Amino acid sequence: MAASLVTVDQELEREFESRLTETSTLAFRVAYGVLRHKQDAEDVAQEAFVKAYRNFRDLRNRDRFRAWLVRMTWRLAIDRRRDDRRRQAREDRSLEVQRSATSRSGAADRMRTTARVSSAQGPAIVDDLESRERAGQLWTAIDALPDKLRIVIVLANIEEHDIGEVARLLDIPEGTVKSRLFLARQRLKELLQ
Amino acid sequence: MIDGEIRRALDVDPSPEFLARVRTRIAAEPSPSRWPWSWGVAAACAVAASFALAAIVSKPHEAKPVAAVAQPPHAIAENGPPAAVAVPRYDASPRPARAVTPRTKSIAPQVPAPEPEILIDPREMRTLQALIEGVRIGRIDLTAAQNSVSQVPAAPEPFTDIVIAPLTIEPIALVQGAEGVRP
Repeated sequence: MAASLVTVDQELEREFESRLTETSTLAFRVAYGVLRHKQDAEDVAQEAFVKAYRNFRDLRNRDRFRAWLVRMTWRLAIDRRRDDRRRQAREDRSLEVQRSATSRSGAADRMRTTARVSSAQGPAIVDDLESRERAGQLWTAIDALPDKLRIVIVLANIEEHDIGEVARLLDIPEGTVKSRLFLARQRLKELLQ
Repeated sequence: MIDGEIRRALDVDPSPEFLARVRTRIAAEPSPSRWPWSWGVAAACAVAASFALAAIVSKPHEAKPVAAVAQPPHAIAENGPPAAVAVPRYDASPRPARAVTPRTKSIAPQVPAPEPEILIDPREMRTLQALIEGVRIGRIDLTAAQNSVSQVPAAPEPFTDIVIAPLTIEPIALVQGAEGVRP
């Protein structure tokens, strides 16, 4: 009996290890698609794997692990971002109070210094700034999408998932994926123009 | 074009230490197979503890054999003679509610019975019941017994031959001289 239990344990461990190796980048990218911060995305993906490990035995259909993990990571990332925003709002309010106490002359000095540094940089830096600005606009537009459209367009652009794969990951029909993808692209165009 | 930009933005790989960190974290977790066991053990312990608690709480409030009062006489006879049957003391006002109302546990403090209960032997009770029933239907005639009870025994004759001698007490002789001084 003990020997059989050990065997079952080892078998589970092996299976989970193979799933972990196979899906670690996917989980990270799903979290990164929401948070756009490498360290935060790694933390969230790690949390998702720990949860998956705790409930791995209860997962009846192991072939659904990938979809299960993606949805769990997405939810955790959304929660994390919500918490971050709340914290950021609190910090902004406290900073606002501090700024009102400082003199305006100090702020003007900082602006002059920044302008001097910018004019001294080469055109490569300017291009980099432009691409960053463009990426910032794109992500702002993606964030403005409803949750259902956002997850579809992010998953469709991770690891070149096709419509069928996105449908399997989200457990929705392919037709629904297509229509959501169409709507998401349309809204993004509108927002970016 | 938008898809291409999103793809490029999402084409980010985790750090090389990421997988190692996840493995370390998972190694600190208990094995997934142990979770159902531990939950099962915890559930069994909780059930056992609740049973024990219920038994402890209900023990002081256990119903006394007063419930036998509500039973009719024939029911007692069918059940056989118990060691002792509690019956309420005779009272003009019946108190059936005490025997019928189920007791609620640990809600209100238990009010002690105003009168003590009398325990009688069930055989005596059956005999008395049979006597009362026999008198009522005329099977037993108690006239002779009543007559024998009504005959007052004759008063004993007063004793006349007792002589009590009168008690005489002689006076104490007076002592000459001052008080406290030996003669």
